[in-house]
Amino acid sequence: MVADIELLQGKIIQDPDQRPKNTLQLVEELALEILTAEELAVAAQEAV
Amino acid sequence: MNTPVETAAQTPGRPLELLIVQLGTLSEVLRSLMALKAVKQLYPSTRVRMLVRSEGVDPVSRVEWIEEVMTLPQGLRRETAIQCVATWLGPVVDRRFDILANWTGKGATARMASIATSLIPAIVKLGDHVREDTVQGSFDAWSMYRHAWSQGGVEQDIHETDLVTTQLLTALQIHAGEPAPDAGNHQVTSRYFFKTVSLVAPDFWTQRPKGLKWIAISATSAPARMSEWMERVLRRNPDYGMVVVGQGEIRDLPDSPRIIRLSENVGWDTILSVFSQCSWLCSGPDPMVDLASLVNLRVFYSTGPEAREFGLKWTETGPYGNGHVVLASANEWDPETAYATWSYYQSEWFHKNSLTIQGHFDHLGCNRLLETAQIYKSRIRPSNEGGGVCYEQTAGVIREFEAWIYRVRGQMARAWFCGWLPALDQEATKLTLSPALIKRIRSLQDSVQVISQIVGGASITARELETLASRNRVGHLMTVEDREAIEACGKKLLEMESLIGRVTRVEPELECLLKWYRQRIHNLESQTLSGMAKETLQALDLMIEGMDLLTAWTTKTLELARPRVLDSSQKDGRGQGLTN
Repeated sequence: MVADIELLQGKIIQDPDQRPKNTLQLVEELALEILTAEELAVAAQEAV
Repeated sequence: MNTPVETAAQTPGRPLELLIVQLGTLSEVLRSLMALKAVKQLYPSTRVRMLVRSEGVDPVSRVEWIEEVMTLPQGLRRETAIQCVATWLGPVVDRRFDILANWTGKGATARMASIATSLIPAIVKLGDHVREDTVQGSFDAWSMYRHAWSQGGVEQDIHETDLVTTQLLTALQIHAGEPAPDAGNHQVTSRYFFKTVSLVAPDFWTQRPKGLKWIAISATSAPARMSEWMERVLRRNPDYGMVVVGQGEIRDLPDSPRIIRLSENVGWDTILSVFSQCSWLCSGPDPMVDLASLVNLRVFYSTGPEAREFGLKWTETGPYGNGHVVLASANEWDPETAYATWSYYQSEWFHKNSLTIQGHFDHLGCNRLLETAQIYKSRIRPSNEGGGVCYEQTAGVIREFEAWIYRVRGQMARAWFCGWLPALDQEATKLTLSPALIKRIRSLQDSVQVISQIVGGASITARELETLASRNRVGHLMTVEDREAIEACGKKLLEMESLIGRVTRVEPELECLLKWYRQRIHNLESQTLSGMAKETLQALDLMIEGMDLLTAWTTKTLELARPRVLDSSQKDGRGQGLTN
């Protein structure tokens, strides 16, 4: 097997308590994604 | 390996905390449950939580060994949405998961799941996430493989369920050690997979005609001529009744007391109660198929024309388990073919394989229908054959080359990630050889040789690049000569990638290797040039391994087709020494 263990083990986060540098941006985007998904679901229901 | 998870796992009485992010479709949620059941059997002390969308809460909360079902905040208002998400995130951040695996597929919610994966802390992460440059990336090899092949339109023989199961089991094996020796010998699917909340079956079901065997029909995925099949089944099989489930209408539904129409909005308890009394589910692609697989209900699965005639992409999400029957049609779904297929398998206990399916089609006078269809039966491979579900073709149109390359690709993945392969000699005995297959493999062989040479050259260049780059410790200060040499190596690598692209335009069946290489390059992790060169080299090594396997398969297949002289002791006395 050529693939080394590092490739299969997943990413080891040395300090899981450390927040991503772009946390605020990610939270904003997540909120937008959830809103969009909810709006799409409502639109789909109305179409039915 | 001294990883933080290992330390956690070694703490006595401290079970591993696992979070699965599955924001995909209901089908994906159900397939995830199947994979998790296998994991739970092998690592029983693991505590499993799932993050799903609201549609997934009902089935997941009925699984006793799932500790908790989490959902993203719902009913957001635009003006307070960010605040709500931040408030939701607070307690989740404090959970301290050991392993987080994002199993969401490539649909509309993939980005959402990747963001959640980036935000929720865990010691080990698997699956897709959002990188600091806001581009989506993958944490592990199996996720990259999913992108490159499974979601990249490449036909390969590993079912989605097996793919994520293997991904998580490999990570657990690395971080938490080997599973208990006698664990995992139990079947994953079970009639009792879900607990029912209400034991009272609805009236329409308790009052159904007695003494009948029941077929559940998925209205959602019913083909246009489903009613003709139903009418035929009811007419020729007075011991059968049918229950129509799911949303949608079946056109010209026969009027019969042996047909029950389930209301479209019935709850999970009702569906589970109905499924537990049925013998078959007849369906196309639909979450009902995944549910039936989980509760051991036999599925008669129909798949229509795909991107390619008799394409095999359906095998990645088809019914899981033993004994399911698949009818793949080249054209529009045909009730006569469907009836002949289903009636053969529903009477298996009677003919006990003394009758072939071709013989059965003959008896019914419809053998010609096998010229536009393929029939498969599913089977769980024993662990010494690699485990997982596979679909064996039992009748219909044979596409030898497509089946050959499909199998070789699956073996490539196993060689890359499992370090395990069945012996080629043993595999080769299963091949059906024909002049058309041999001709096609010969033409493939030329492209394989060309790509092998290019990749070999690229590997030497990547090694040169690594050596050059590692000479320079500072990273950005170097001699003009070194800079020029590094630039030249970089250019050469790009040229080689473009050359491979040109070959795969002539031989598209090999594009899968380029897709895999590009996915690896997209996910380079290192911040230094020498580190990136090293990772490029690893990606090329994997390609070389893949090409070597392809070469071994083409050589072996062509060797089998070559006429050979029989040993004199094997002669049949008529003096004929040649075979094949």
